[in-house]
Amino acid sequence: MATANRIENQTEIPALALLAALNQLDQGLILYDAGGKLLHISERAQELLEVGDARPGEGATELEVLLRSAKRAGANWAEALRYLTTKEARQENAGLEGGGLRFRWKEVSDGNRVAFIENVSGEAAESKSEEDFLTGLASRARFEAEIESAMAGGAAVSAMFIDLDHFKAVNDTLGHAAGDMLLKRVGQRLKASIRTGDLAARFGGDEFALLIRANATADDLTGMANRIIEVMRRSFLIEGELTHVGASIGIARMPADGSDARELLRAADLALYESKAAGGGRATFFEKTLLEREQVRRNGEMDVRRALALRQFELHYQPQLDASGKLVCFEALIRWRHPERGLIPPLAFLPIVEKVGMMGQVGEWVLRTACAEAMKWPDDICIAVNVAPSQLGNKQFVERVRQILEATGLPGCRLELEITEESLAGDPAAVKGMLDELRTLGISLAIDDFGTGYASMSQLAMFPFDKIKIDKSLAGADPRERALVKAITQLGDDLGLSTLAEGVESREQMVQLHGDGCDFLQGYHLGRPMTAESAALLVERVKK
Amino acid sequence: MSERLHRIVYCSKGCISGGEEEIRRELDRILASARRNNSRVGVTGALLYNAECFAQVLEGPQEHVETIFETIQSDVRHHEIAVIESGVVRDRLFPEWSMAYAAAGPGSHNTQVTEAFDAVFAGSPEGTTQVLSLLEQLLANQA
Repeated sequence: MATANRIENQTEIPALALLAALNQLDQGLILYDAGGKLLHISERAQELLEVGDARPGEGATELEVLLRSAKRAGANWAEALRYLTTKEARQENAGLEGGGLRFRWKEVSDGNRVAFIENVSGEAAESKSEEDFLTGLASRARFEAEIESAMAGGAAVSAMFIDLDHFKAVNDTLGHAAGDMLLKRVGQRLKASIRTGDLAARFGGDEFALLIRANATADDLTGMANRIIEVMRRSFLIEGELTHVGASIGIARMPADGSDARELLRAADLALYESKAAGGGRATFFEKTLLEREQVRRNGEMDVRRALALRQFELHYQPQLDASGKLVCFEALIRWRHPERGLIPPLAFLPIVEKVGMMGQVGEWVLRTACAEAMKWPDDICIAVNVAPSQLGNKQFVERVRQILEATGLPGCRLELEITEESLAGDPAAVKGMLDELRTLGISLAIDDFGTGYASMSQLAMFPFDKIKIDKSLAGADPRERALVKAITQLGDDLGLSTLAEGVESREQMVQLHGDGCDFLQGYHLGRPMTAESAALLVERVKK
Repeated sequence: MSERLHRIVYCSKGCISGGEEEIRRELDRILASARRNNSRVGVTGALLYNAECFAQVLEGPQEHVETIFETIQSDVRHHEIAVIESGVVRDRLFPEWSMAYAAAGPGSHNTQVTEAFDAVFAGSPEGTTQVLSLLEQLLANQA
């Protein structure tokens, strides 16, 4: 038969010749399988995409890794491609555009797919995708264009920014495919919650937006926002798992809150930030005061950067004594010597440091400074340093600690890291791995503020701690507090952990906590936090 | 059957309200559309209505249960929805019914059922057991 003959002949063409022929095409070609494994990428495809050096771990599939490394692939491409490997996408024959490229794909055989990449930068002057590929809602580009055209018509429009709460947790626990499914359904629920004439859009990730065209009163908008929050709060059933997210909303109105699309969206974004900061699951209207607050936040970040650069941070050291009253350790405590505001205690500025994402840098400065200072003391005096949860979240943390020990020359056994319960909450296996590694450096670990948080006894057995620091709120004379402290010291004894009582402010408390079985004591009665110079003098005095 | 069976049971408040006649018409509409759509995709279940609250059981192939459930979840007319059971099951509770309907009693108001619904919306685990056993009981009485 003629047809069979032709196919047979074709398979006889040497593969190399076929590839050379493909490279002559104006279109780039990528052949991949249902799991996103790359089977072939034509040279033209690499050229069009401007494929860079792919770094491992940047995507779930080879296709994703490739696209993430490509300079000309739009920001959403990797996400889009993940969707392409799902079941639904198989029936569709869609495409996406970005960065002057158009990307289309087709199923060829056995679930294998071929993607065609074309240069369209010449066409239709930077044509932008009108639709969000995943949810079918409007794209950001279309959303902004619609605001402009509504405004041109003199309409008093309003905008809502909608951001999911806890979406990352869904992605992390159920995987990206389930995360994409969730976003699709969020899009559907959003569409079902709005009136005809309004426009729903997805800007990427878990960010959605609504354009309310009709004249809406504050009450209308509140009602609509509450309905959306209610609907998003309901369970999602995804791959057989009941899943929950929530929604936070920011609302801005034209013309009061902005005179163009950019201003309106910025106002809605600031209002959204307030909803998030207040714990999520709520809607906030934009107000002028939010602009001021943002200014304060920005100043806060600048202040922190300046403080690090100008060495405005300093460490104070508070003594820790053993039961016999001997000085055994100092806890390093950070202070900010602000040029205008004077000495600021940590609770007043660490939240800002955390918020502007600079805890890692500040924490490293503390550790390095404290270790260097401890090198000036006799070998039998240790240094205790606090570690923030976000520091433990950084995979490089152990390596940084090791480098600091090496650079300062402090033996690991003279360093104690104080870790709060909050740090253990995230990914217990990862945190435990990190703590184990720190201990191999000789460092001892104390659980800080024990008795305040969700203090679970099992955490003491699960994580490799050496010491329990009992919170100062349990240092009082109340018989119930006494009973708790006794139970904790007993538990410490049984688990082979030492105990330290914080907040010892009087002689009575000292005697009492000592009697309750605490091995170490710390507090104003035994020594206030002091400057490095005073600490050095104290060390000299006790040595004699 | 090789396909995994999924069952979800939820209670909804405030979706159907109004006069007796209105309620009956709305329920008929819901049941008719459920029966039409569910039987096509192998989903069975039951509905219990009482004083502006209802409980619904959906069971069948996971994919289809998910789709039907999602349609319900995106319906803004529900004021409050509480899922009381969800998971893989071996057998169906209502294999014979595309959507069985249990009327709670004359005038569609039954104190026992009201109490069970109240318990569900208050987050009590006993409410779940009560609603499930009421569903089975009421259907058995009707059969």
